[in-house]
Amino acid sequence: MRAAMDAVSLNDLRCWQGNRPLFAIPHWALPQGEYGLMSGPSGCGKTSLLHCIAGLDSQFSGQLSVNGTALSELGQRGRDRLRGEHIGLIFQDFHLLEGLTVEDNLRLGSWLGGRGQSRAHAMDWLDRLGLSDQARHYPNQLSQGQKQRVAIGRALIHAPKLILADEPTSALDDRNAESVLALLFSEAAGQGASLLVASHDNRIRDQFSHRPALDAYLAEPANRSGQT
Amino acid sequence: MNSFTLALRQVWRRPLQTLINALVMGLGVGMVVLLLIGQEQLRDRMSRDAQGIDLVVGPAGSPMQLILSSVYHLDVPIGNLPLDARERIHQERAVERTIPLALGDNYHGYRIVGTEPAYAELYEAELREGGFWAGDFQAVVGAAAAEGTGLGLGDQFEGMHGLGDGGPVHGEHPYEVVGVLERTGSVLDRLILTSVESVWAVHDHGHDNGHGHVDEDQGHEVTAILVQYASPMAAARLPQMIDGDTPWQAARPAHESARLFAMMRPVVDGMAWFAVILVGASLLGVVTLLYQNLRERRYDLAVMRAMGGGPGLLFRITLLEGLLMVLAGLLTGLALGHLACELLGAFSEAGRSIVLTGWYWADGQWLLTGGILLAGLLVAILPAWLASRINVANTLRRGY
Repeated sequence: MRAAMDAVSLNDLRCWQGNRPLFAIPHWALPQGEYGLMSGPSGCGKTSLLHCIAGLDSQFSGQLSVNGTALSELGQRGRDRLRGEHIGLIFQDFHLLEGLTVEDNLRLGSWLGGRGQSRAHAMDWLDRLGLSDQARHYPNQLSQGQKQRVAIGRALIHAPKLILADEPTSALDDRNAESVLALLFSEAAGQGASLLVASHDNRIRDQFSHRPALDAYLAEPANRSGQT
Repeated sequence: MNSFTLALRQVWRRPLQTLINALVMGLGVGMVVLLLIGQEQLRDRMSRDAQGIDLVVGPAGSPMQLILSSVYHLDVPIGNLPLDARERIHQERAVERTIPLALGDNYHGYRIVGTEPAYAELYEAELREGGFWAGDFQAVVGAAAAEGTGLGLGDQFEGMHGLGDGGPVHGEHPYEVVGVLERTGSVLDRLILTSVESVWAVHDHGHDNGHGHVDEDQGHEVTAILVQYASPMAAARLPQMIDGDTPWQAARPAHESARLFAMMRPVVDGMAWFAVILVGASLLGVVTLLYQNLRERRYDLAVMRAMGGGPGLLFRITLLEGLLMVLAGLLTGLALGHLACELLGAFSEAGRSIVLTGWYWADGQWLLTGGILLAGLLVAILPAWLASRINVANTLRRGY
């Protein structure tokens, strides 16, 4: 019963990168609607854990459930669909499609998330992101802060239940980092979505109420290799 | 937005490479198209021009020259033969009819042919206005000749000696246009017809002036006699009889045009191979571009997967990219091929030889189109498969 309530639930999760064990987590869960922060230096396995949760990386053993659905029970198609419909992914480097306009990047997110690709919907989002004037611009015409706002819009336009953000503020200056985080919080709250952020950015630490005990497991192997 | 528009955007991200590749493929495809529609039109035209003519009898010499000069009106005549030959031919029972041709003059490059109205019947020609000649120095003008010279009903003109424009003018015997023919799509369109007697009369006079080519001492002569068989029997006997028992020769249009195509064969084959190499090179270009895209766009593809797109989507997008590039080359090639044929036709019509047009579709082009698209599909399958198998987590981790 409890697993169904959690946005993310891990039990005895072990993950590898190649042959190298990355981390082993006995138990951890992110309750529905909560905002969690995984901190820790880069290379400690934060990104890999996000990829596992998003169903992009299947090099793990143990139990991993998203919104009550066990990933190990899904095939690739099922994981693709779950990710498309219920998960929004935000990357450190934004990863907007350079060949598409800002508007089309949003519509692509909506389309791949199974929510159609209405132009009005995309324009509505651009309005909320404060980017209405940039609808026809290409990503290389935007500032870093604007790019990350588009990336957030693209990840949230299909109203996912779970938002996974990998270093969303690391590439931004203080002012942009603050406003992007504020945007992330307000949109997650607006949609009733859970939020899991992986970041070593100390500027945002204090803003999270829920700092999972996860850091202890993650940091360990990275510290070992990081000391050399 | 769908796989098609995503593929289209990607192809347009490299307009220069896409265009260059389309041009290379276009040159190859265009060359094949030109060969296909050029040859087919030439074949159609040559068989149309030779329709109803089973055999041509003329003075001894090259049979090819005899056919080219008297059926297709391209080459100069070999010489003359006496009109008596006609009676000799008619002794053969299997002969349906014979039509004499007397060549030698032109009007602004359009040949004046002394013949009988039966010659126009060969091509099912109809009169647009007027009628056939009733007496000497009356002429019926073919549709293209009328257009080219501006001659109309009732106009008078003077023949020029020789078969090309610019010979000495036969000033003393002007012809009067008594009829204009409808277009037939055959060599007849470029001819001016008159009675054999008129040609004789012009040249009897010309002979006095010292530049005629009809030798009066040997009686009346013609350039060639066209023969139509009544039964296949004649085909077996008549050519042998002419070649064996007379000083003349018999030439079959079907045989000579087949020989002509056989002579052109190595050139056509050479061009076709060159075209195949161009198309092959451009297909390699498509594959190279697809791999290049795959390498440079790994991240985009991974992001699309991260956003919920399945492997099938990436497969379709990459396949469509390949097909779009091939389609661009194919369309360029079709446009170039037809344009080249039209231009060739425009130039050759100025030279009044065989008329080609770009507004022609040969059956072989369907095969060509299908084959090129299939080849595009085949070369794009491997890159598409690789795109669908991309390792999303690794690609995302590695960054740009």
